[in-house]
Amino acid sequence: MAEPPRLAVTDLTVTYRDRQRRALRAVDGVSLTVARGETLGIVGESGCGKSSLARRVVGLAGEGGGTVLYDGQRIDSLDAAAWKPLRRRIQYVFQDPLGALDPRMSVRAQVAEPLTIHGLGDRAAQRAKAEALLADVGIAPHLFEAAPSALSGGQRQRVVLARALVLEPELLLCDEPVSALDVSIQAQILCLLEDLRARHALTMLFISHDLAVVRHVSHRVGVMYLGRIVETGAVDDIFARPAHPYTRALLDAAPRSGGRASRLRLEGETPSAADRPRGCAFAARCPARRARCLEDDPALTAQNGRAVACHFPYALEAAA
Amino acid sequence: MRDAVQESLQATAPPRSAAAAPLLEVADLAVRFSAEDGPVQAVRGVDLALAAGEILGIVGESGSGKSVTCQALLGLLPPSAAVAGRIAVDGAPVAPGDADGFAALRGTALSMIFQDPMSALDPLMSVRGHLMQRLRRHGAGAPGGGADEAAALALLSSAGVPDPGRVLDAYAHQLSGGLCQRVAIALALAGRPRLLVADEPTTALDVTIQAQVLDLLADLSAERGLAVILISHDLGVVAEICDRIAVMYAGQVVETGPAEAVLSAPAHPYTRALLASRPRLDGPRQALRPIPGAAPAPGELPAGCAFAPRCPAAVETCAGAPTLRGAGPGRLARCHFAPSHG
Repeated sequence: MAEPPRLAVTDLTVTYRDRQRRALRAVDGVSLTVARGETLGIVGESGCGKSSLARRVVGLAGEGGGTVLYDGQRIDSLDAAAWKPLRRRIQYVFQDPLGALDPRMSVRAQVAEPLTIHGLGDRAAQRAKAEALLADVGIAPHLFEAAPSALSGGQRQRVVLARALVLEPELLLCDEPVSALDVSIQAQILCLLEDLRARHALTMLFISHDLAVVRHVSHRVGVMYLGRIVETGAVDDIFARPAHPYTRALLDAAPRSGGRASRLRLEGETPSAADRPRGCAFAARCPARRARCLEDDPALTAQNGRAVACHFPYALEAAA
Repeated sequence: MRDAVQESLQATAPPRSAAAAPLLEVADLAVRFSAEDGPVQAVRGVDLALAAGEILGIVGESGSGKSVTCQALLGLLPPSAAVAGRIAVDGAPVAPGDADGFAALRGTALSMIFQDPMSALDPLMSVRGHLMQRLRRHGAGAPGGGADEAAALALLSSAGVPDPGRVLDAYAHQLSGGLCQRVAIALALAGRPRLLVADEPTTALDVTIQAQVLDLLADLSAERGLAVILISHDLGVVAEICDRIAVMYAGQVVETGPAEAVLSAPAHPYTRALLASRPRLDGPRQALRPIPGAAPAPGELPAGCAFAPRCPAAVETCAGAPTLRGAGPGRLARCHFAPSHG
């Protein structure tokens, strides 16, 4: 039998409740797999559920259903004690590096801390390992004793990466890891991630609103809209020829010079997940919608090596 | 119309040589803050000129001085900031410290929108309240009169607010980020300004909403002759709608010229490096070339070219400070080795 994917998520839902206890389904039946050594990018706008999805995978987001398999083992209903050994293997990097770091702890101590928590090695070994990782991510030795506040944004994100990697995880979930950084620093962190991914044989789930960044780091991509994946497949295929009108609109909206008049513009805004429209959730904004789209909710259907949730894929292409 | 403006600008470039005074002219602007460990020179000799209907993009990374430059030319810096240089609006000079002079210009000649539209609105005041207050300040209509409301609705429409009647009675927390920014634009337009300074106006917005707001700014510029200064860290955003761009680094403009020309053939190594460090959406996936190191802190500027410590092409000459020099039609670059085309 073939080895199971590193991560297999089936029909995952995440539900939040507002003050009136009304359910809001932030993630609404998402299925995906990530093979060993693969990077799956998840792209979408705010409120599409991409962060809730990642948080639910690592047991951080509240209510919900569906299954999460890690190396073929169920991990979606584990208690805290059962999670602990898994946290060595699955690590998480957030957008805001300052919020992820303890303001009173030195850089070296923060990177060594996970080793202490998991009881790995003696103090000298932990210290040596932390210093090796910090050197690896390009933090100069004179900063090892510094507090996070003394570092730049890019340096802080390097420290966060060092701490995530000190346990030698197999799976790294990155949620907007470069969004808070300046362009020139973004490139440094993306190159570093690429290098670390190759050297540590990491599997990655990479979440971002930035299509160019997702295209750069991912093998495959999933495009999310209002809690669901609306298109998924190989990143080069999808960016070269989007099938779902929303994917096309996202690509056309990315700012650049030239061709403004010929690019697709969406009207209106994403509806609320608390008030999911009948039929296709994107229909109200879709330039290619037809009567059927307002009635039938399209299922994610596999075709030509990708999966698309649209009754009329490539419709905009035919119109153009 | 924008094309015509651009043509006339190129024909008379640099713009300051045009017969009519430009809408805005800034020369040798410098801003110094006093910090605990000595003065910090945030802006170091910036020249800008802008004609009606023109969109100028100012692009740079955090700390490059782009926002401080714009706050200075709107007279919005605190009194503790030492501002020097010459600013003229419609040919009439305004002294950098002249608070009353700037107060008279703000809202009518010059207006501004910011990155976070939510915080630009009073959470306890309805959109109607904001608009009425602003319209009254600019002397439009009697308090509470029907004419006021029509003017308010017209402003919302001109900012592309769908269903302005509904939005009029909403509060900031009931509106999305995109709608809040449109309301902020409506407020900024209330006094019929000729120049709108937009500081990262779409950075907090989703990409499809960002595209809508950029379209709106381009339309306002083309249809009303509104001049726009668009400040952004994102080269893509300025590429989208700007006629000209100015790239800032360490408090100085390091390159300026027509947007297309600068972005397709950058003359300054920093502009080149910024473009190479950005992943692309089209073409083959290429390895990124990050810029090594970080921008210098304003208190620790190198003696010569500020970019030299990170510049792959730096040589001994770069220990001397470069001046802005011609780098093609309507173009300037602050580099000893900028290619000059005639």
